[in-house]
Amino acid sequence: MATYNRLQTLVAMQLTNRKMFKKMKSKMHAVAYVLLRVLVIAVITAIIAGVMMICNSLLQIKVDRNLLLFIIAFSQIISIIGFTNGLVNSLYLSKDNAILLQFPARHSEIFISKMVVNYIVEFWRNLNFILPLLLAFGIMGQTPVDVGYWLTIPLFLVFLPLIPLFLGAILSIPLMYAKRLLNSIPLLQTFVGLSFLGLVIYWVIKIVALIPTPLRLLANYNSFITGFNQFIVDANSFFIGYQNIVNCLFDTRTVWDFLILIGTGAVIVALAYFLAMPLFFKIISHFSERSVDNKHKKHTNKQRGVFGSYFIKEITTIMRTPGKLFSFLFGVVTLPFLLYVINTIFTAINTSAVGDSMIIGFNLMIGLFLAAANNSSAAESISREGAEFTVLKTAPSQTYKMVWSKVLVYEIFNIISLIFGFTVLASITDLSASEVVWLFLVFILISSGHLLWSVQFDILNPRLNDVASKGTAYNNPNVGKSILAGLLTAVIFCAVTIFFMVDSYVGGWVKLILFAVAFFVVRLALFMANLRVYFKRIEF
Amino acid sequence: MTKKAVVAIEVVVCLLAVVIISIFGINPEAWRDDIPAQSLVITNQSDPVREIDVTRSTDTNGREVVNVKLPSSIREYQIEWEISPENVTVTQISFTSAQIGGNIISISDTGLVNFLTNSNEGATIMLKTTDGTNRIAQMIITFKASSSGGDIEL
Repeated sequence: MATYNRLQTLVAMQLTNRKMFKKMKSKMHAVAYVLLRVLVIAVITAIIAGVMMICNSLLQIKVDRNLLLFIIAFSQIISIIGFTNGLVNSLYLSKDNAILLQFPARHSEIFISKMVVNYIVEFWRNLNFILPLLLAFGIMGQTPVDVGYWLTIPLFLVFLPLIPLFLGAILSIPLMYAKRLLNSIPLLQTFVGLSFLGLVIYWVIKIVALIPTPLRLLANYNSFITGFNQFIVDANSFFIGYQNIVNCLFDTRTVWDFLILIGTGAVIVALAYFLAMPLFFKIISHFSERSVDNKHKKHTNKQRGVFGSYFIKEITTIMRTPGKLFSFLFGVVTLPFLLYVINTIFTAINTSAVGDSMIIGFNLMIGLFLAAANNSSAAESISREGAEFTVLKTAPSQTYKMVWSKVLVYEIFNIISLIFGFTVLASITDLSASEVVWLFLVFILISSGHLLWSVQFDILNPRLNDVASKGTAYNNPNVGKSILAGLLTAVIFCAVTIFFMVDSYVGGWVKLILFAVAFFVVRLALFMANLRVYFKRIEF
Repeated sequence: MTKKAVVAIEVVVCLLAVVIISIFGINPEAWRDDIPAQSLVITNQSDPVREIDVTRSTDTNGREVVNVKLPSSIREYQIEWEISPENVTVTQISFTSAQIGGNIISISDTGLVNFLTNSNEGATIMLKTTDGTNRIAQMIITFKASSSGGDIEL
């Protein structure tokens, strides 16, 4: 009983930290909340049912038990990957461990409480996806369902979250050891990350090579749908246990199917209990300990100007932080890769003159979306300095130059990425050399304008306190603003490009370049004005 | 808005771009020139493990006929075929057999043949392209005799 009470307290404490489980102010609030949840589930069910109806009638995709099995099994794989990674943080690296372990509770109870919390969160998530999916399938699916189908849904909601959660707990142990190894050798971490990226790129290129030429999406629709339906059937043959689990829903169910559903959950829970729990305390108490035996070489500091010093500091920080370095290199690699994939598909389509203009417009939009994601990191470049910003700012010199040094670093990586990207573009499309150069110019002007805009968001509203106190600025509104601005800019430029070029191809290029120059000049002027006025007002 | 949301939007936009260009940006000529089927070939092979023998012969019209001999224990057989070129516009195949009307066999849309009775009567199945090119392939399925008798031919 005492154990149960302690578990209840531990779970309640951890749940109150979650936004979705905040304590209700009154009974009325609680009732309103429950009604709202029911309404949300009903709306999601209606949307999924609508999609299923379109798939059945318009798209000729069979919404039968095969598709249901595929979706459930696929969502479980995503959950297993998510939990394996997420549990490393929430079980072993979470900052609340330091507090929880001080409480008069056994280590096993803390482990169990954490698993219960994760289970409740997953159960809650399933109410927003698996429940509406099953309800919609019961209404719109092509496979007939009986009363047993509706009665089995609650069983599904209870047992399905157990499998990915506890499997994730088991898999998180070797992942934790791997992470520790990678953290101790930063270069290895970057190497593994890039190797993984290389593998993904290799497979995507192999798949893209299968695209037939000419690509006639509408004409080949039937064969695409036949292939898709066959792919679902073939993929399902690998989901051995889930075939029985999904069979519980239909009139072909047997006792064995239910035993496999309940048994799989029970076995995985037991495995996690005997494998992960004994290691829990050992891992959290030892994994943060790591001796540092850096040997510092003596050298005389080279005197540099203010801008040069800040620039070298930025570069050194990136080179010494594997996460940052990987993030920048990822940005450099993804643009050329994305342009390669999308343009291989575009060139396979036999396009008209309007289609050619669309291709230029969409290339611009797709590339700028990616640039928006990369530049959004610049929207917290000043905030990331945290408490150190005061030290940097109090130096008796023109410290605003630090902002320019940050802009330059982002710009260098942007340009490298664009050079690779447009080399790829020139090699696989029919665009002439001059068209590629003009597009490169337009792209760099818009991307640079957006970069300045992103940094400007941070100058106006830096989150230094958040970084200083929590180590990172969670849900930084500047990042959101930067991404939104980038997406809007990309959409506007895509529309403008198509509009200009459909009207007159050569004249369209001139107008597009002038429009991009105007955008960059306006952003540069606003950035400089804001930097001059607001940088000195930034306070910690 | 997070970077994950941008990735999701990026994927959707890429798919939309391909669909929009395929509908509104396609060369008008490309709307007309359907890719017709040039050949239809049955690709089933012998399977020593399941004791299925597949041989090929030619009929009086010079067309290839695929002869399949099944052990009497097998009551289900998958027909496999290939249409060329790979990007042919209509990939749908029609199946005809005299035995279907007699309720001896059934053939699914995917070419799965089911022998509905326990008799060892075989079947002659005709595959035909449905894009108007009328490419035809023929398969004759017979059952191997049990140890006491000879082959049962159609």
